[in-house]
Amino acid sequence: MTRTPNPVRYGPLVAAGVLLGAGLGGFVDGIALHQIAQVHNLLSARIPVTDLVSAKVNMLWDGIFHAGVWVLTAVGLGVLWRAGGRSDVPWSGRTFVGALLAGWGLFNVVEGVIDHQILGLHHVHEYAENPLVWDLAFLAFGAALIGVGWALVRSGRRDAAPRERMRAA
Amino acid sequence: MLTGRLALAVLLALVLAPTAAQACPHCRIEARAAVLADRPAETALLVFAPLLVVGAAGALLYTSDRHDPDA
Repeated sequence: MTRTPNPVRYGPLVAAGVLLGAGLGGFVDGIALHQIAQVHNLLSARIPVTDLVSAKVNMLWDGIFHAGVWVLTAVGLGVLWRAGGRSDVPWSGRTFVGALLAGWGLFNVVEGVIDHQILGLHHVHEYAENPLVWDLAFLAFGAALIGVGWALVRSGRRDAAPRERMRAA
Repeated sequence: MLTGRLALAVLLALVLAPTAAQACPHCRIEARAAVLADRPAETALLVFAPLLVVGAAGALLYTSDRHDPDA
């Protein structure tokens, strides 16, 4: 009796990479822009940072947002752990790194479109002469990350084989 | 047990540090009051909206599970 091999399932590894990439991208955003550059605060378009109290209000919402980013990262780690235990999930570095980059890009694009353009909660650089330029650059960077990430995910399909078959070979 | 006590002591020290250093406690109280007074639940929903979208995208990818029998 011939044993039918399990179908290959990319979803769990890609989902783990996207969630982890979005979470880590959110931390890059928080550390590099919010804390070091001191721009891009969560409610800075609605509550401009003009004194210490308004700065602390923004800081508090930054913290709440980044607590959510932490949850996203933890969920991504959990999904990766589960994917690692499945014999039908190809363990491809290119697929995973691609998904990480795509996740980071997805974070930028979704955050940029929703917070900057639709809700108008804040802009990347509120204090610039033309904040829209910064917002568009943020979106373009996100779109580029998605493009590169997606290309890597697709190329990973060529070198990936489920571990069950790799062990049998 | 010792690790737990140490973690508790560190947490307590972190919580008390700003007050001990007199790091503008009044501003902190004012900021918290301002956050709580200005529709915090609604603001939290807005703040979390992008993360909910990314989470939903992750769930969709996880369940999409594309089959590629030739791989």
